[in-house]
Amino acid sequence: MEQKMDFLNVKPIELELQGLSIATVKNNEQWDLDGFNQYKFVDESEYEDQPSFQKNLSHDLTFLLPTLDQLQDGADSSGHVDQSHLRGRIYAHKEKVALKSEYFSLLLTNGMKESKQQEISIPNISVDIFFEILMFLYTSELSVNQENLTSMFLVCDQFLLEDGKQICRDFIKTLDNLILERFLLEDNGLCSELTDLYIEQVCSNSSFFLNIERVSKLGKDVLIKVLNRDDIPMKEIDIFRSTIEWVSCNTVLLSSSSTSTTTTTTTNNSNSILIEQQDKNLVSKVFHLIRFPSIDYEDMVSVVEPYSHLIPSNLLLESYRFLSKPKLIPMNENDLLNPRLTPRKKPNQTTLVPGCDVISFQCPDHKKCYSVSWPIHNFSAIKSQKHVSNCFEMYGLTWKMWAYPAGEAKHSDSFSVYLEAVRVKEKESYEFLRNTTFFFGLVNQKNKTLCRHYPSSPNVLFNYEKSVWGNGLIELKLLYDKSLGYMDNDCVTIQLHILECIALDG
Amino acid sequence: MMNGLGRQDIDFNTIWKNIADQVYKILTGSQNVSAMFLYEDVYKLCIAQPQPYCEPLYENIKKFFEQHVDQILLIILDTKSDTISEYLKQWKLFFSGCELCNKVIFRYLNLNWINKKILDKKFGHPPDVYEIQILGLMIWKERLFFKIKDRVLKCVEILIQKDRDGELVQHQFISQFMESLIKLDSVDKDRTLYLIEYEASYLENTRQFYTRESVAFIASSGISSYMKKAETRIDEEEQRSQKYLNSSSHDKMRRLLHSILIEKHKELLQSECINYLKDEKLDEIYNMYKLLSRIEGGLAPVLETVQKYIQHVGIDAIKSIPDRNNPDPKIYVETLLKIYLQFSSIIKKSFNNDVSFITVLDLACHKIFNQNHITRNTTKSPELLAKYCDMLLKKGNKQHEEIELEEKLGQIIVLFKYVDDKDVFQKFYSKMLSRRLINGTSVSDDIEKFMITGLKQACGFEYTSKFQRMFNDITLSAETNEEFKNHLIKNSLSIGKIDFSILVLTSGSWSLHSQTSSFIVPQELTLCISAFQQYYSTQHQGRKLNWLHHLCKAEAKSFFAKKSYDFQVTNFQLGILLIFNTQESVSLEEITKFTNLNENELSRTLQSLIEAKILISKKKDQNSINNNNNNNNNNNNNGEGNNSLVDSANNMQPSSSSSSTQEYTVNSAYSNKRSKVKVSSSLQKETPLQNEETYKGIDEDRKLYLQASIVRIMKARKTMNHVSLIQEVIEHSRLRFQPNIPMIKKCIEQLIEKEYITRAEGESDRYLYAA
Repeated sequence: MEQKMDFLNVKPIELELQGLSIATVKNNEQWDLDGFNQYKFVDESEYEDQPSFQKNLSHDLTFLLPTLDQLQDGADSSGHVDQSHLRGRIYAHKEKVALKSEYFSLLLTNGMKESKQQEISIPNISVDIFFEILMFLYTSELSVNQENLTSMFLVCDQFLLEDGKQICRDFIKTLDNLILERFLLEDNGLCSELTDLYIEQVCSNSSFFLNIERVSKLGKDVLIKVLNRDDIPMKEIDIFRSTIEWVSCNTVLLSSSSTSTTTTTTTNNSNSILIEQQDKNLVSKVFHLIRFPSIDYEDMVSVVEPYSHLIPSNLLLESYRFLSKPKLIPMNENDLLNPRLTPRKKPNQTTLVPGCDVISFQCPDHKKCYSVSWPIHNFSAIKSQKHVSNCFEMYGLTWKMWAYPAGEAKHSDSFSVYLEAVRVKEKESYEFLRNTTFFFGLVNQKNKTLCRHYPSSPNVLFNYEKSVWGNGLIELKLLYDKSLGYMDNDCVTIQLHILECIALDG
Repeated sequence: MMNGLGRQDIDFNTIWKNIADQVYKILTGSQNVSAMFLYEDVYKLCIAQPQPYCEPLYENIKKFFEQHVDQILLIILDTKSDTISEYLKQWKLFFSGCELCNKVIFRYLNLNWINKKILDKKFGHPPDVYEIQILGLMIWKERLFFKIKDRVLKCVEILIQKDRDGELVQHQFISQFMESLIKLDSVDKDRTLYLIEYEASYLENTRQFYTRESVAFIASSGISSYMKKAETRIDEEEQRSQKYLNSSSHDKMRRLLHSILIEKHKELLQSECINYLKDEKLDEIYNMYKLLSRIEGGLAPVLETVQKYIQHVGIDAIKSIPDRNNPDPKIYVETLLKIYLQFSSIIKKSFNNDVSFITVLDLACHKIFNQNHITRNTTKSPELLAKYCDMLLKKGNKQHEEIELEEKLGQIIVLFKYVDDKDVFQKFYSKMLSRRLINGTSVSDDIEKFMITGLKQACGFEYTSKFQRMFNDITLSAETNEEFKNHLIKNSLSIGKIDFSILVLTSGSWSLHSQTSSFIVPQELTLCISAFQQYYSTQHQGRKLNWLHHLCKAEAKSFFAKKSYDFQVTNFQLGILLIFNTQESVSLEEITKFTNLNENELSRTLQSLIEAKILISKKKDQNSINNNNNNNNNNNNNGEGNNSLVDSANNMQPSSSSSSTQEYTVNSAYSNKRSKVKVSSSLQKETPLQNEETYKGIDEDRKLYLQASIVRIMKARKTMNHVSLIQEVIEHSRLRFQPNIPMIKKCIEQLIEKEYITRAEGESDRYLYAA
């Protein structure tokens, strides 16, 4: 320690002699290189436009920084390293440093202490890391690797180097999944933004981390964030299997049954109960993120049912109720708010598909009418003249709705909507006779009170020969005027209200 | 371990105490604070885990600023005198300290917490979190400035008053205070401090000060001195505004000054205009012009006054010209020119060559030139102007330098623009130019072309196209004569001892009087004429030459007296003299037989020769005696001499008559001091009859022009009523002359007779285009 300090003290004196004797300087430099060989310093005096560990005539700024071991010592004792004992020196150019960093520009010109002296002390950043930062300020290139990623990101954040942070973010996106897994395990939460970046990257590769051989290594926070996403490219039943694997490795629930058979003391029983309760809460939280209604009935019976003692009963009930419902009955409006009832999106879907699903809802104006809503998402993606909804079942009949987004022969200037009673050919025509009263509505998505309702069509006869009825709803130019609100986020919502549907005897 | 940036237990209170101590030093002007260490502390608080300390830090900063500002307020209030100085000193320290805190110390807090908080606020809700600098300024405004506002504003007001009174004042105090108000306004949308507290008060004080000063100054020193004073004060306040007012207020200040110092006294200023003009006080006029030109509409009465004054001076000057009915062109034109130059100079010096005043001068000169008492109901001005041009352009008694001539002619072109009846000028100028070119009496071709170029620029190419063709004819004639001589030499032809040259003039381009009498060319000239005629017809087939003998000149050498004389005579005179080569005495009948001149022309020509004493008129019995003597003496009367045909436009009415019984003989006793004698010819003189003839020609040209114009208009419109047609005809002809309506009506009637236009059936005031 003392010897190294002597070397640092001698060096400035030698540099002052450069102008007098070139030969002397050379000899001394060689001698100095031998002395500092452990730092692997390189003589860069010929490169005036570079930051350097050795001073040359062009340098007008000196950074005093702690070395790595000084930081380690300082962390153990106090939060500060005494600046008089800083041992790392980097020589630089004020102009270059100020050019790329607004922070340093202000630091060197604001009239405070640093702007009046040649030396700047930075107490909590190691000399090696800061050298790379200076190279970034000089060259716009930041040397990020697995070893220094965390330090680089933190220092760029501290000195508000947004470009540097972006380079770190881009580096994280290039990390291999195995390395990413190691970063997650070693993350100590020092920087929440950095942790979020790791998790974001994990979510982008969720099929790897949810693999049944690896899932047990995830932290619970990471797992919860992953399961929350819509874009996991795995079958729901496989996600369930991986979750079970994680639960079995990270909780005591699966081994609690064997524990109960063992004789334990009273104290041990008390601790075990507490741990078990915590695990139950965690497991319950995790299972709420599984979308059980998306699992097939057979898989529910053969794979899920054996673990029913772990799964909250309301989730199983919800799933069985959903699976037992006829497929043609429209989903209820409230069900849309439940993410478990919505399948996870398929990742490779590049072409937009217009909406076909029909949803039932409670009509606020009529207590006895049956109402469905048809939100046509990706309205502009409709390629055909006529867009048809999925089949849905009401009043014992199967129905469809038609929409003409560009008008049709009968109503060329209007957005026309039709209601069709789907015919079943094997049945006789008289069974198909229905006296129906219905009307359409068009939702104004900016202001619900401006929704348009169109005159009802009383006593419309649907039969085998005439099974489609409808009319024009709104002028096309009004529909496509986004400021009015009938089309919002490329979505047009049609409502159908059926007030009566009476079967007549032929 | 993260390279020394490991998780550390944060003691918020300890770190905050350090931050507070350092920020206090910054706010009190200390320069020995380490920004890096302080920034590090703030950074650690902002990224502390598990919960960052951003909000406690912000609240502590806020409280700190409040306490600090309260302390500053006490310091300022404790200052008994010089409040503004202490206020500005404290403001400067606080503001620069806030700036450093905002940009450096708390930069991380601003970017990562405060800005996000502001963005998270719902739209329309007032923010409760501010950037550090804005926070500091708001606290200063609420807790300090509003409490001592009246006191500080009063101090500034007193300083400004002293500055206006000429006392020595610390200018930077006022401007720094103004800047501080603008900075405090930047945290508020209303921006009331500068506009309401400072600017309004400043402008009101200015208004009161100068209202009192201007009234008192006019009462004590008069309007002339006041104009200088006002200009000085406006300049002073302009300088003061640059220092004491924001740039957004400069226009308001300027308008206020103009209102007080000029607008309120503009009637007084405007009424002095006529006095300054009469006394030719150019400096006062300039001062008045500078002031009034600053306000909108300030110069309008002055323009009117100047125009009336110029007209008045001009009309009076012309009234003093003698011989109203037949004034001297030189005196007339130079009087007009003097008026123009006089007021042009005044406008240049005193009215800054203002376009409005140049227009006023044009209007006034236009009236003077066309409606003075000499030109009343006549077109005398263009006629006199043309005659004056002839004086300048002709070789004569006075020899001007070429540059001087060009200057004078340039001035004449300026006057020419004011003439209404430009066709009259054209007619007279064309006639005189013809005479100068044919007689070779131009001062210089270059000067002539200079004049024509000026007229072209004033009126366009068409106006001067005839003049240009006249010059072309002269040039081509010189070439033709040269070629003719070469032709004679080449073909060994002889035309005798006569030196012969010809001018070929384009028909229609020259203002020439027609030949008034038939004329038999003398035998000696017949050979020349026929030779040229033959030559010219081979060069230009289809062209016809028409000889104008009344415009020709000759130089004849005589030997009938004791010594030889060279006589310069017209062709008519030459024809008579050549008879005496073969006869001693001739009777009137014989002369008529030889020359075929009519009675009027013959009498005029003989009279001119008798007056020149070349010929003697005697009774018949005396002639026989003389004839005998002459025959015995063998006195030879050779007619040899140089003959030069030069056109002349002079025509002369016969002034005497001779008896048919007279006999004529040469005067052998003729003697003259000079050997070259120019025989006086009354053809050279202009007569009132010819003048009248010129005006008739002008009228005829005008009628033709009007008829052509009417036909063009009717052809385009097909149908038109009487009033509209007359209006449009006047518009068309305005550039050349001012037509009178009876002439237009007469032309319309003539065109109806010629069946170019017809009256619409049933409508007496409507015309249709026919044909």
